[in-house]
Amino acid sequence: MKISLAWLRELIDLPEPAAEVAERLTMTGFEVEAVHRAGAHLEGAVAGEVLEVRPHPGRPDMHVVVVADGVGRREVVCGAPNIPAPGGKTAYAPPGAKLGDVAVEARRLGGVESLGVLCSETDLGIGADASGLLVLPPATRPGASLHEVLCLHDHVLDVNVTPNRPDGLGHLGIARELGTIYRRPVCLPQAPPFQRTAREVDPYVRVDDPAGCPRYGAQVVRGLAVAPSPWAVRYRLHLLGVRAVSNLVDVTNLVLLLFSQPLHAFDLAKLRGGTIVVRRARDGETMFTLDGLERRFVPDDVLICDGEGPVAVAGVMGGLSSEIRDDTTDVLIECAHFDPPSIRRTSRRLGLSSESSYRFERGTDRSGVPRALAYAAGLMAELGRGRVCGEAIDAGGTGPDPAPVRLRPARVARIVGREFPSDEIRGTLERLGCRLAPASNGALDVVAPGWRPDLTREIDLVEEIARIGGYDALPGTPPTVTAGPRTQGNWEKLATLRRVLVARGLAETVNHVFADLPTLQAFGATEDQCVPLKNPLDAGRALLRTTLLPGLLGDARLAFAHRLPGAALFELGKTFHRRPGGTPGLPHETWRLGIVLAGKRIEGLAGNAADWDLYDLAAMLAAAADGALRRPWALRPAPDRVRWCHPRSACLVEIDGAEAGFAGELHPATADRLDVPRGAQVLELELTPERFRPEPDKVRELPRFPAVRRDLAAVFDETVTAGDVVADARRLGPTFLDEVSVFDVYRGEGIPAGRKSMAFALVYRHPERTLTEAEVETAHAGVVDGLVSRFGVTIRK
Amino acid sequence: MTQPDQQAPDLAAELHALLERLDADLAAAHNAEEARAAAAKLLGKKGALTALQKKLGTLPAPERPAFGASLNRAKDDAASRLENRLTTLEREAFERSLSGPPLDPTLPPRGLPHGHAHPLMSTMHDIVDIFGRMGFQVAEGPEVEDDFHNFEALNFPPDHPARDMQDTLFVDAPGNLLMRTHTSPVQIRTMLAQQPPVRVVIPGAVYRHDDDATHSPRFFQVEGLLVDDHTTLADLKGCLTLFVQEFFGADVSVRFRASFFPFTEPSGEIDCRCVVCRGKGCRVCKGSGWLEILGCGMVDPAVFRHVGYDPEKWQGFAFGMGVDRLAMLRHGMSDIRLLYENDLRFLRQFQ
Repeated sequence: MKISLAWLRELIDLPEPAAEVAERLTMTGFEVEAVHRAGAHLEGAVAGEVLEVRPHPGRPDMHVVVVADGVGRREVVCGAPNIPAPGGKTAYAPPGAKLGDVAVEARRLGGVESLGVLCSETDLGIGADASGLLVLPPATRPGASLHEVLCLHDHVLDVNVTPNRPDGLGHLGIARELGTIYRRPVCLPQAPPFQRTAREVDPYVRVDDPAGCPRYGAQVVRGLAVAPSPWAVRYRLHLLGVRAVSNLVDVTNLVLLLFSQPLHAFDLAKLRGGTIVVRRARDGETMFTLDGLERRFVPDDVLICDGEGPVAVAGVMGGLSSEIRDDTTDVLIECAHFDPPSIRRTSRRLGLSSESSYRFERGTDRSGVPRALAYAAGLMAELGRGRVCGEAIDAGGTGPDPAPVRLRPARVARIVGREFPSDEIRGTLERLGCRLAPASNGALDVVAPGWRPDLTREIDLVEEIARIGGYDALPGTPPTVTAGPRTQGNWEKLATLRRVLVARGLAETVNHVFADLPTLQAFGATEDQCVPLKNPLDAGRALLRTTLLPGLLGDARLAFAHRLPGAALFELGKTFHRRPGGTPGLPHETWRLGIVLAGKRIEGLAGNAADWDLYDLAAMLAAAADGALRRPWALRPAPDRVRWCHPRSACLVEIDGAEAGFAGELHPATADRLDVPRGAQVLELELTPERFRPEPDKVRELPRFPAVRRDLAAVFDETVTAGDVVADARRLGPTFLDEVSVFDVYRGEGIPAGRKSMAFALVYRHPERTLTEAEVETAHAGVVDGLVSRFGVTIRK
Repeated sequence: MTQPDQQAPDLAAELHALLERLDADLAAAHNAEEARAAAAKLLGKKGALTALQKKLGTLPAPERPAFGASLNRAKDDAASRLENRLTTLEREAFERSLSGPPLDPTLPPRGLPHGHAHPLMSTMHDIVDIFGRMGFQVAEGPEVEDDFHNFEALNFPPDHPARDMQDTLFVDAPGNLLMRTHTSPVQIRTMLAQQPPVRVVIPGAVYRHDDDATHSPRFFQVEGLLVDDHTTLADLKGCLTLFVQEFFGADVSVRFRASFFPFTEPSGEIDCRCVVCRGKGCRVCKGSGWLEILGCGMVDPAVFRHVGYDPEKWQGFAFGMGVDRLAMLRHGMSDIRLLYENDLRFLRQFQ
């Protein structure tokens, strides 16, 4: 909301500079986002008297005008259609003047030197009229500064008005707020004095829907002539961002900006039957609104109708048929109070928000209707040279007083944390316009003024007292810390996990959660598992992700587009899964870890670059599982399950022996389908709270007896994993088989194709005694025999 | 020392020659092994001095003592020459070990370089840590929410303009589901699940139907809630002032001004002196000299009623802040899009 400081100063004594006023408003709740000094962009422009006008020698569309600017005579080339006759006054910018960013210079136009320019409102940046020169009153002194002649000086405050303060959407409301802050009286705006003439033809007003329209005020003004508003009105509207239209329309906008009370002006001659009926719409009823669109209504909408049908959508927008036109002479001014939720529903349903609906849906001052209406009528009669006819119509009236709100002073101190003297409480509330009555136990019964619909509860009054008293005046008491129970959920564990992964060399990413179906399907999701959005940003972002990988792979693609050799990325984030079978309730959300290793791995010298492979991925998994989850992990080949990974490396990730995710090289077909780099190693792991070990590690006693190591090398089929052999060896060996580990894998000379040699170290150690050679030999032979029969292997000696 | 025997000038000469040769051999030795080998030619089992020793028995008795003494002197002499040489060689070897071309310490370290923490996440964790030290526990909640938790229980009535403050992404599913527009629904879930006292900090992703140069449809907030039977607006001011000074530094000044949120009353916002221009006015603070940091207020009684707390008995405050803004201020960034593009060239600037 733009607020003119000059206008405020008509309502309240306000000698403080604009910056200070802005600061005080900001601190008490009307945040001033910017202060603009009006007219500051204009330097050196003056009033000029036209002395002589003669045709331009070379350009038939231009004239050479001789102007007096109080210093001397200047010749100026001008192409405007409305150059005043000699003796007339207009706006003149001599060389050296500044019009916003434009510095005026002498320049030749069609062979004639032009010393500066004659200006329109638009040239000067002070209005919207670009049709011709700004013509000044005949009495203007040549050479007088335009700032002085046109009263350009003002400050415009950009005020952020929160939804609870509809009164702040008008200058009067801001003036009242300043009156409370500065403890000064506010002068209510006075319309120019007018005489009411006798009623000529009675307009008939009936409100059939008092719930939707609790108060309907109307006033007829006749004998009007449509014309442009005087300069002061047009300039004020311009500063406040409203286009000046005509005197009659401008009056409705001035009242809106002053009282925050929307008006509607009907051309009385176009109201069929001379009648106004306020009622709910009939289903399917239609009307053309001012913007030229046909609107269709539902029974929830409140309409203003004439004798035959709708002429306005109540509180939202007027109808085309009864719009003020250049030939309008008689006007019915509507000044009403509508039910806010009902206006909001209609405005939203029609997708039509206006300055009126914006205010009505926040709440207007029902009690202020007569004042705003009288002000509008008087101003319209003056500017349009018409007459106010008959008494104002007022259907619905002020209504019953709202129930008083009980305020306990002790409550104020208890919530705010400082004592307020009772004088301060009473004074603040009274200056806000509240009516007070004493109640029992020192409490007050408070009735808020009509312009403050937000003050309906005790807490609302507590806030008023606190904010007018000033939050800066509050003591800031530092918090006392109480030890609470441990944090639930994953947060601290996720913090550890991200530190571990960053230390391992990965870059953390934060991706969007929106995706399209084909992308999610590429990772095995089906449509009925995905959560769709009702109003997605676009079709490519219509679903919530079921996997972190598309985002990470997109990031890798970006890195390659920037010609980086590789990308090692992770994300810790949520995925979303629709509950099966249309189960109601929220979707299933799970925390996941996603890792993508794409392109080259560079360790140390760049010449040592190698492609990332499955074992790099396994190292990252090990870091996560051992370093953060602190749970045993394993990779198990599962090409049939993880179809989006290369069949040679597709694995399931197991944590604690249970399936928890997948890992492997992205399937080249999937990479092509998603247009991401081939060869990326990908991993995704679901992080349920139980996958994080909460308890501390338990210590095993250190070995006291020597170990005996026996190696075993054998040729296996390619499908046998080292893990299979280790697991079997453990199963086959005695309890004193302490460790089994693979230490070599060999393919090539001496090994048939499709087979590989693997070598294992078996460490035997008894916790309680030294083993004998014979014991070890027997145990080891048992393991070897078992493996031979299990895998049909050849033992290499 | 006894003079060499007159009768054995040839022995003295022989011993002298042997020691001379030893000196030459030791000087030629490059290492301890060679030096010992050289000494062994005299002192070893088959060494020259050993051989002379064996001759001792064949000499007439009167000559023996003198011969023996000369021989022993020669042996001692040889051993000490070896010792000297070994010491020298050792010293030379040690000195050699300190020479040689210097290593190039500017070569990249072996192994994978350290990775990169995302500034949004680091900032979010740091904020949570500060409140953690003030005794707040972390609470989390779903990112897909329902109307009750996201709006209604937070005192956004249906058909109320306060809902315009937050452009919502709706989920196409039964039950009025939506992408949470703020982390505040977790306040509701927390209070529905437990009785006061409550002291939680709530980090997480939130969503708006908004995607342009200055808005991301997904962004991050940290929210806090404290409910007990005595906490006041003055406590709120103290707590959040402390937070801002922990985050930006103790010398930053803070102001606390009135504002509006549907779920708090009295409501306020905390600004800090612009960390870029120190209050002079710049592009980042839009000339005001102040930066909006967070919104806050005393929990509205209507919210307490929705969760079944008695507003006459319990009171407290809530606050919320945008992580993006704090991350940008802290790292001197002006373009929010960098935070969501995952451009590795950007991420690599963070350790």
